[in-house]
Amino acid sequence: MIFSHVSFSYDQKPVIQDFSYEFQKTGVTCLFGPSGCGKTTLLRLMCGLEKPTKGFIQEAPANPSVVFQEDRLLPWKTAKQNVDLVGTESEKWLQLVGLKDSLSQYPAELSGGMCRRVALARALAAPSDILLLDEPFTGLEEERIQEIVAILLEYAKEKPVILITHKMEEATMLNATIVNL
Amino acid sequence: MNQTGKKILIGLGVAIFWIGAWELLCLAVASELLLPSPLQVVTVWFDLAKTSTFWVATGYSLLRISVGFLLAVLCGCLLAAFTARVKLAKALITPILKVIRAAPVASFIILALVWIKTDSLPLWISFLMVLPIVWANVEEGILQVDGKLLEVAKVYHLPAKKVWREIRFPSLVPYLLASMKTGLGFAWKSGIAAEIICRPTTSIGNYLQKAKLSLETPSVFAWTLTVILLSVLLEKLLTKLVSQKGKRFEQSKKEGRAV
Repeated sequence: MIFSHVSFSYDQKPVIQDFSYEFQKTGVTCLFGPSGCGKTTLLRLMCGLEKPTKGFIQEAPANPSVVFQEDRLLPWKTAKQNVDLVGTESEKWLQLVGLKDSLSQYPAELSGGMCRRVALARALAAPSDILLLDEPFTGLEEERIQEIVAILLEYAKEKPVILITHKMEEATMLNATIVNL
Repeated sequence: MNQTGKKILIGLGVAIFWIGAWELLCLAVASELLLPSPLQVVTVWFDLAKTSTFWVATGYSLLRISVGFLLAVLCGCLLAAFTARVKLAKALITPILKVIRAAPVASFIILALVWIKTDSLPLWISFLMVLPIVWANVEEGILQVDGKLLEVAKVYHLPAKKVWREIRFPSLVPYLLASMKTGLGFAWKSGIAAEIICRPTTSIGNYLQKAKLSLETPSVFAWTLTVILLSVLLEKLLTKLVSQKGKRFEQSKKEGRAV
């Protein structure tokens, strides 16, 4: 995925200005930068939810998997049903993120960290060519972060993972390429 | 004592208080024609319940009003889906529905008597009273669907049919159920009012009016009791349906949707 002189404005207020970068085809890339610098907007451009106001994106992913800043789970569906909505082998993915005993629980019955893991399982279960993660470790305990890191590193062997984080140690754990915005 | 036990006890106490007050008032008035006693009303009600006329009339009233109610729910949903999409249609239809909401039900009944056959008039009156309620609520539900969930659907390329089934419809369920709960009471009251005015042969309204004309006040009370009992029963049934089927959706509405 190549960003060429991409700019994006929201209500005529510039959010991203003349951003150019060629993202690697595998491995993890971390987007760093202060709040409001346009990291989330960049992720939205990558997954096609926004269009650049100037410049263009080449080789944009056809099937992105996204973990948004919020979990965005359907409250009327169980953890398993939320994953089933977009992907296959939901039980396997939920087990992998440590939720095998919570398959039939609704988001309101899960803790914040558990909801985050359901959102991650949903992104992993969907057939995708890139994984886009906006602060995916929010609310997760340290041991859970280690498990998720291992899963992401496995995914990054074949496909790109792009994530937003504020913590340098998370980027280090993921052997990530850093992009400062 | 648990919460349910306490609730039952309080309910029973309140009922006894009001029946007692009725009985005292009745003794003070001392005229069956003006105010029959609770016992007289219950006796007449049981006498009525032994006749087939009572059950046939109740059945027909129930049928007419239910058909009008269900038809209004169906048309209200279709209309809401249409006006939520087409702004011009909304601008055109809104004044009509506002007029229907604001106009007294009796005016409609008298007007409708000119155009519609007596037997089906209560059905159409119930329909007219419920339609604006369902339409307004369901349209609100359609417009209030969580954009963040729709973005999830867009990113994962969910087909439109699936988006409707899995996201849009569940989002509007609380609005639909709330409008049905409110609408049922309206349908029942306006339907019976229409029956009283237009008097279809086999109907609660007709027998209520007959009892009034022949000055059988206990009978008027007994038929009114039937209307109240059916109203409470229908509301309880719908509340049960709402709490069973809509609990999860109601909860999502209260919690601010997507979590």
